[in-house]
Amino acid sequence: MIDIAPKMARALLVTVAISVIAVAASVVIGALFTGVRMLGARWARWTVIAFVEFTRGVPPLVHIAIIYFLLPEAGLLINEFWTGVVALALIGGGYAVEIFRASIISISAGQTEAARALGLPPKLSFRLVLLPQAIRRSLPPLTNELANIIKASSLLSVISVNELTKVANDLIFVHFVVVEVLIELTLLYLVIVGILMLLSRHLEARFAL
Amino acid sequence: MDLGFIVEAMPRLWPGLILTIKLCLTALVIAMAIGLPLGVLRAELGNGITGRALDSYVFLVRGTPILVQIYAAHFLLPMAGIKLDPFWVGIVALVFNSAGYQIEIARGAFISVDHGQGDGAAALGLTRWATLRFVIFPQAVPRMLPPLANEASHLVKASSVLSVLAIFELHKAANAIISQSFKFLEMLAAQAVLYLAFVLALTQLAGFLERRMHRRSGASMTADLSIR
Amino acid sequence: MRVLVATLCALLALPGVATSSTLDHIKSEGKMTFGLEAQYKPFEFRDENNEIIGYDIDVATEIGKRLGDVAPDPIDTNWSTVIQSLYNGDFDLILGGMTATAERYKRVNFSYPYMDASSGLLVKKDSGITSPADLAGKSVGAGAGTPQIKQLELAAEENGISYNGATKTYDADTVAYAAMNAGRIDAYASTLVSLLAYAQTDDSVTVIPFTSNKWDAEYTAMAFRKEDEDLQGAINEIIVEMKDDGTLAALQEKWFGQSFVDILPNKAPTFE
Repeated sequence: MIDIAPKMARALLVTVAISVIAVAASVVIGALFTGVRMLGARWARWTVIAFVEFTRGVPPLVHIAIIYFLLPEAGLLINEFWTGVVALALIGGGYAVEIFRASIISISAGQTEAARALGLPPKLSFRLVLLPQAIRRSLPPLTNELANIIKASSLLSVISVNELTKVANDLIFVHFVVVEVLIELTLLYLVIVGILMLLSRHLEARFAL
Repeated sequence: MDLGFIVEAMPRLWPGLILTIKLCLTALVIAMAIGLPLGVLRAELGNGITGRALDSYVFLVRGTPILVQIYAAHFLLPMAGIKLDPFWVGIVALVFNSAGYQIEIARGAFISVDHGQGDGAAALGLTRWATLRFVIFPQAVPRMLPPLANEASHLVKASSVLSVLAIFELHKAANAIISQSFKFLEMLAAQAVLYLAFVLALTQLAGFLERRMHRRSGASMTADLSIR
Repeated sequence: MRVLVATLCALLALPGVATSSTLDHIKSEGKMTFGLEAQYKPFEFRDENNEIIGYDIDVATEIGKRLGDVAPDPIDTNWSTVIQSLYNGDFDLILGGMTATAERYKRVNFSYPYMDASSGLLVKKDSGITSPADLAGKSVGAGAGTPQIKQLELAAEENGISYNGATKTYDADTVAYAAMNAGRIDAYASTLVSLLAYAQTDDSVTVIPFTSNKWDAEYTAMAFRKEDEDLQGAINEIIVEMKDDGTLAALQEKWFGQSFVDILPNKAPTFE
C-alpha cells in the first residue's frame, strides 16, 4: 500500500491557492462589470451582456480550453497555474455580475426614494442604504457560485495544472488506489467548500440589519 | 480558424448533441421527481435525523466537483455489484448531483411562501394539507422556475464532463473529431456555439413558462428569487 | 480507515470475478470486447461516420477470426482508468495501443508484443532541436501516466540538462499538439508512430528519435486480468501465427507505413 498523503497535500495547496486567487478576482471582476453593465455606454453594456451569456452558456471544460489556447494567440504566454486562475476568475466574474445586478435592482427603487426623502444625498444613500443591503442579498447566491469556482478548478487537469483531481487521477492511474483516493478527495473538497460557507455565514451576520 | 471545417463537421457533432440533450432531459426529469418532493419534505421536517441526513446529502453534493461524483459513480457502482452501461452511470451521476441542488430550490421557494401565509391559512381553519394544496404550492411552484432553469443550464454544462466516461456526448464527439483531424480550435468553437444554443433555448423556454404561470396565478415574484 | 477500506474493496470486488473462464465466455458469446480510448491515431480513432477504426481494430478482427467466428467489439473508455475498468468487467481485455510497463504489470499480464512502442519527440521544425540534449531550458510535455514522463527525467539526467519547469502532462495527445502550436511546449514525448501520424498533417512540426540506453526497448501489448491466463495463452499463439504468415506485417504496413515485426520478440514482457 503506498502512501498517498504527501502528494495529495501538495496538490491541495495548488487547489487552495488557485481557488483563493480566482474567487477574489471574480468578485472584483463581477463588481467592475456590474458597474459597466448598469452605468456604462451602450456598447460597453452589450459587451458585458455578451460576456455574461457566454460564461453562463459554455461548459467550464470548453471555456478553460479556449482560454488556454487563446491567451498565447493574444501574446499572453503565462503559465498553466495563472491561465487556470484567469479562466476561473472570468467564469466566476460572469456569474457574479448577474448576482450583484439582481441584488441592486431588488433593493434600489423604493429604498433609494425613501433615503432621498429623508434628505440623504445620493452618494450617502448608496453607501449607507443600498450597498449594505445589496451585499447581504448577494451573499448566499454568491457563495454558491464561489463554491462552483472551487469545484471547477478540478477541471484544470486538462491543461496540466497539478491540482487535487489531477494528482488523484494520476495516483489512480499508477497505483490503482481508487476508493482511498476518492474518499480523500471528497473529504478535502468538502473541507475547502465548508470553510467558504462558514466564512460567508460570518459575513452575512456582519451585514445583518 | 478554418470555418469551412466547422460547417463540414457539424453533421458528425449531431449524434453527440442529441445524446447530450437526452442525457440532460432524462437526468433533469428524474432529479426533479426526486429532488423537489424531498425539498418540500425538508421544509416540513424539523432538524430530526431525516432532516439532518438530507442536509448532509445536499452538503456532499454542493461541496464536491461533478468530476469527482462521476468518478465515484463509475468506480463504486460496479464495486457494489451494480452493472450499468455508461449512459446510465452518467444519469446516476447527474441525478445525484442535480437532485441535491433541487432540494435546496424547492425548500427555498416553499419556505419563502410558507413564512406568514402558512400561519394565516391555519388561522382561517385550513388543514395543513389544504394549506399546502391551495395556498402554498400554487405560489411556490412559479417561484421555483427561475432557479430550476438555472439548474438545468448547470446540468447541461456538467454533462460535458461525462466525456471522461467515454459517453459519446457533444464534448466527446468533438474530441473524436479532433483526434482524427487535429482541428482543435475549430472544434472548441463549434462546441461553444452548440452548448450556448442549447442553454439559451432552455432559459428562453423557462422564461416563457414563467410568464405564463405568472399571468395565470398572479403570484408575486420577489426579485431575489429571480437571481440565478 | 485504511484497513476498513481495503476490506470493503476485497469484499465488493469478489462478485466481479467471472466464474467461467473469459476465453470460454468469448467463444460462447461469439464476441470479444476490448477496452481502448478512440483518440489515438492510428491505433484507434473515429472515422467520418463516428465508427472506431485503426490498427487495433484490424488486429482484433483478425484475432476474432482465428478464435473461431468471434466478432470484435471495441469499448471506448477513459484511458486513465482503463485497468480498473478491466477488473470491473467492462470488457474482456485491453487492446488499445497500451505500452507494456513494470507499473502496469503489477496489475495485468501482457501478451507478446504486437507493435513497437519506441518513443519519439515532437518538435517545431524551426525550433532547432535535433536531439534530447538540445532541450536545456525548454518546456517539455508527455501523456498523463505514460512511460515517457520517466524517460524525460532520465534523458535530462543523461544529458546533464534541466527543463523549463516540470514536465507538463496531458490526457490526450491532441491537446498536447494544440499546446505546442500555441507555444506552450517546445517538445512532446510520445510513441514514435502516433507522433508520425500527426506530423503528416502538420507541416510545421517534425519528429526526432528519443532513445537512450537508460531505458529498455518498449513494446505495445494487449493486457489481461491476472487470472485470464488461458486467454493470454490463446492470443499469444495467434500473435505468433500472424507474425509468421505475414498478416501482422501487412496490417502494420497499412497503418504505419512500414513493418516492425522483425524487432518484436515472442516473449511476454514480465519486467524481471
